[in-house]
Amino acid sequence: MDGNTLRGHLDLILLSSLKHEPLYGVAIITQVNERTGGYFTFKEGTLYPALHRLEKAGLITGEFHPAPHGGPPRKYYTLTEQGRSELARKQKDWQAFSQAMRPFGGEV
Amino acid sequence: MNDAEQFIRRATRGLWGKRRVEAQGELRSHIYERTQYHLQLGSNEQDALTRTLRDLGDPRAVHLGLLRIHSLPLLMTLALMGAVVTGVVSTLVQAKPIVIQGGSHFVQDGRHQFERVDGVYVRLSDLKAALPRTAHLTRIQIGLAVYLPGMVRPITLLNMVGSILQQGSNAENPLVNLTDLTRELSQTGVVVDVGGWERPTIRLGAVELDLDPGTNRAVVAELYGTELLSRTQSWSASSGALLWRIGPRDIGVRHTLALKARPGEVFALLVPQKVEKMNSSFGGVLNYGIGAAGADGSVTFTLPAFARRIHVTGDLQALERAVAALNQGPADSALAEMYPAVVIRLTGKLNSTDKRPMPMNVDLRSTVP
Repeated sequence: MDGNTLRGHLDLILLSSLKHEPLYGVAIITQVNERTGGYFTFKEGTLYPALHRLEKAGLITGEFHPAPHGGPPRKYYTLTEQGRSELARKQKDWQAFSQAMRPFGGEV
Repeated sequence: MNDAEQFIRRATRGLWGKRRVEAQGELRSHIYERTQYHLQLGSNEQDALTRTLRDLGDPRAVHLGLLRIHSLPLLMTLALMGAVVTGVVSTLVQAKPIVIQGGSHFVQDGRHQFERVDGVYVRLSDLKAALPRTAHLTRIQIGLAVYLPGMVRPITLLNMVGSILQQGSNAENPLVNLTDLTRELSQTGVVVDVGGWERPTIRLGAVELDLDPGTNRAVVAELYGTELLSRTQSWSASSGALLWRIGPRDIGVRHTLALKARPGEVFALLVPQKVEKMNSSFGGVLNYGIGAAGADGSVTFTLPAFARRIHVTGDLQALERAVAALNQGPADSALAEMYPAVVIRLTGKLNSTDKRPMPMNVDLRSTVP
């Protein structure tokens, strides 16, 4: 997977992964990996700066909760209302872009 | 100290207080979870930890990422980046004067008819020369693909009338609409800042474009108009579409308002107007003038000639009601005596997270055109 491609869509991927439930870092990595059949694999350390950036922008909020089976507490991220609107906007942008690019993508 | 704690300390160096504690806690939890996962797959403790840290990557990358987010002073961040990737900064930041062209341009459409378009334009070759090597501007069949340092994704400026002007044999070096370009860029995460009224410097991410000192005010006002558009779009679902500017910018009626603003602060004055729309129906829109405060704190705006008598208020809804009244009235209807007007403060930051219209709380019932 080309790193630039992943970087270009990172916010959409992260916001989308939190659409239905709050998740913590490892769970986000696992979910994204499973949903894309392994196409997107994070360099794991880069995930946290991205999550902190979205948190600082008010698109997600993070809160520590005890881990159910012991170990250090996990930081769960939740999509805010602003984040939900941003996700909808990004999804719309993506749909418009992929629609516009279809004629140039060649036969599959 | 074991390898995990060493990684955590290196990755969070330079963070302080609660941010440091929380970032360390998050990384500690990550390392614990992933180590448990590898143990369950049959690794021994040392192997499990080694694999986990390898998957996390270089702690310096995490470190720089976290520092950038958590507002370490820019100078320190640049110094740290320099220590890791020598020379990158010098290729990212580059300032060269750039000439932009405002006013009217004539373009030939597909039916060999000429059409006049107004706007702020820059030659593609000038834009390329002003940008650093790490930027990419490429002519593609459907328009122009643009990538600048700091953008999370590239943008495409489509071949639409007004966005990219191809004139005659100059198709390879067209004029690019800078207002459209900055508006698109402001949606991508790159910081776009007009800079200021007196000495405008467009900042696009890590790139600064020094505008030609001779750049006229109308061109600068047009760029501030991009911010105004984004603020009115967030104001209500309909009002963004209602923002029209009709007619030459410097002809009309002048209003000078005593706003007690700081010299150089920029404002827009909005008034409702009845116009003929594309489908030949008539309806209300918002027209506007943009001006900057002088040394005495007053601001002079130019509005269309019909807006001779205005009533400046801090009530945005008064404007919406006036537009609605114009939408419902007959074709020749106009507002009776006074046009309600609202003053909006502009910051020059086109992708500010604060998108509110920011009306001034003024109530100037009598202004002298």
